[in-house]
Amino acid sequence: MNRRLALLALWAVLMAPLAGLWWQAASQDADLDALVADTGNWAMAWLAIAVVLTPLAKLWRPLARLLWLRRAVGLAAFAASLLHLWLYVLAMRSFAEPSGEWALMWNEAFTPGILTGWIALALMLPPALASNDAAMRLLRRSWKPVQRLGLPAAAVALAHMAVVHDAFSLAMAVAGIVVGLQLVRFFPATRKV
Amino acid sequence: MKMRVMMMAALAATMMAGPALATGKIKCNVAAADMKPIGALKAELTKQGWTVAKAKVDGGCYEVYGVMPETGRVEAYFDPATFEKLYVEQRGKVLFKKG
Repeated sequence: MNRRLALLALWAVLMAPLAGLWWQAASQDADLDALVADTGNWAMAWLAIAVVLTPLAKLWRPLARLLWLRRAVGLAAFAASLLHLWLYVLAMRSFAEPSGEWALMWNEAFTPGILTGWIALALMLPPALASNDAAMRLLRRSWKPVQRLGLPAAAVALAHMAVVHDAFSLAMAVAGIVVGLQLVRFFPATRKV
Repeated sequence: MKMRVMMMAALAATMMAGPALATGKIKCNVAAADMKPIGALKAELTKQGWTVAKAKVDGGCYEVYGVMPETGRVEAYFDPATFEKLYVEQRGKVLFKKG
């Protein structure tokens, strides 16, 4: 199977649950706050998986051959984050006077819960834009550091999740897994004797 | 191999420790018979200029999500018997907490 097609297929599979949430958001009596939280959780899940794949491949060698699929996971995390942002705008619009959602959003933009969300999204933007072969060729040795922005993005996104969605326990559990697996990067690779 | 087992054990311990860290923001000890209807709180807040998105019971208190006049989007807790404001938070920033 063509690699590009495989990436697109995996991305589509990862986006399927988000498409369901998008569909629900179109309904008149949709609980937009709940949908904002759900899309955020999916974005966090895909982002966490994207950043643990490399250390996981160190623990379980067969995975190393599939690491090129990580691009689809990272792009799904970014697309889910954009949907999360759009539903947040819709949720704020549901309370506001006409066109008042932007003032409401600005009003809370610098609170810990929301600021962490904006920072996480900003950190995800460069790796998302550079997730293609042309950017890889263009950036050469700078490409990896750009992709590594996914790690601070995940850390800040976890803080956002803990504070704004009252999901401290879940965020701590995910943080434990992500940090634990990142430690594997510092261990020497095991060799078969 | 030993390192791998240690890593897995550390991860399992972290996962089990996670849920134990959950904390309620605020608690109320009001008998069910003394609780006023939650609809009455919503009506009172609306009269004060709030836009109430959602109201539910949390930790024995009434928890309201909505837009508070002059403040913006907040999450607030009220005593279910008196409707006294106990706690107001805006996206992780505590704006008011009864002393």
